[in-house]
Amino acid sequence: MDEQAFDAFYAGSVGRLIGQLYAMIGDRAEAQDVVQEAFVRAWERRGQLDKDGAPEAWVRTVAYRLAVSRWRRVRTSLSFAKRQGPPPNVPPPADHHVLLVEALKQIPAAQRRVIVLHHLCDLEVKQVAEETGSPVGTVKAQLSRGRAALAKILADTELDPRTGGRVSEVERG
Amino acid sequence: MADDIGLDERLAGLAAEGRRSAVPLAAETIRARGDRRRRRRRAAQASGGVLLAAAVIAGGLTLFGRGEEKAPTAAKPSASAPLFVPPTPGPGEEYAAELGYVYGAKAVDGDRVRVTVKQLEEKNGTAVPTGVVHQLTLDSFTAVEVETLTGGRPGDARIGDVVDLLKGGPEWVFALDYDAEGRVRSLREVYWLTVK
Repeated sequence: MDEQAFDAFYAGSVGRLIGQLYAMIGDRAEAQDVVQEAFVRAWERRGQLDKDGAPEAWVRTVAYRLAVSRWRRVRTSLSFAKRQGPPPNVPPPADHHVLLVEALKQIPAAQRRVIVLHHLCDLEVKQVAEETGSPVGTVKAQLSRGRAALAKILADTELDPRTGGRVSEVERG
Repeated sequence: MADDIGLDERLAGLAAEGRRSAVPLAAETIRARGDRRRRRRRAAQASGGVLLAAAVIAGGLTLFGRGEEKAPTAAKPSASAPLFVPPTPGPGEEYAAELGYVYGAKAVDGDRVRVTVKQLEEKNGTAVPTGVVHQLTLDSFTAVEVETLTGGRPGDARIGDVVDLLKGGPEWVFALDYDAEGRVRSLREVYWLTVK
């Protein structure tokens, strides 16, 4: 992958990957940080990236691992990004997104990850299994449990369709 | 179920918000940082090679200096207790995981916890013992992701908080995350796995 190809790959996928990581980890600044760091590593190891043939999945996987590593490292303290606060001129997240992020945070990280890969990244269960390194049966179980848990958590909130609070924002990530 | 709560639609909206609020660095900056990392890695590998060469020379001199001295007999490995080697993170990864029952927890020296790990290996969604059993002494602040261990609600704990729950026999399966130095940085309960 030469500079031109890398720049095109970066420009075409960085926003989408930040959106996906935000859904996985629930923190916008952190999502941007880990995706950028994953792209730095992608350029550093571009030879390996060419061989893999799936650079976007590689970057997403590395970004997710970085995020998990950071959670563990800074779990009991505030991260640098959080101390800095949100970047200027960025509006706060919408209320229904705050609600969704909080609901996602209540389910185990592994379930959250497979839900995002399947429902947001449009990966088949088999592809999710490949990306996460888990057996297909495990992914199916995690999807099923995660969806059930989310439905339970969101029941009777403004995101519960039965309460008529369905939000009509549709913009594919 | 996904349709019931409009999951696809809601996640797409959430991701779109994340994308809109992002102000990513320029591609040139990313490449420059990648190049710096690459240079550092190569420099580290080169200095490691020099150290290795020095170690080999030093080792050779030591062996040479021993003359006719008889070499010690190598310890015979025990078949019933295979040697445990901490897993090493792969390229681009910060942690490597070991799967296993964690049990027999006991607080030691006030701020540490000793546990026994019965190593497991996952095969087609089922875990089977590998035969490796070893002990670890962990800082009592080591992070533990728990769910069924603490009654079914996912949460974070410290190993020091769950000693009583882990003091019995092999019952709870965890993934243990080792860093590049072979230290356990966190444990994650793997409650969905069936153990044969």
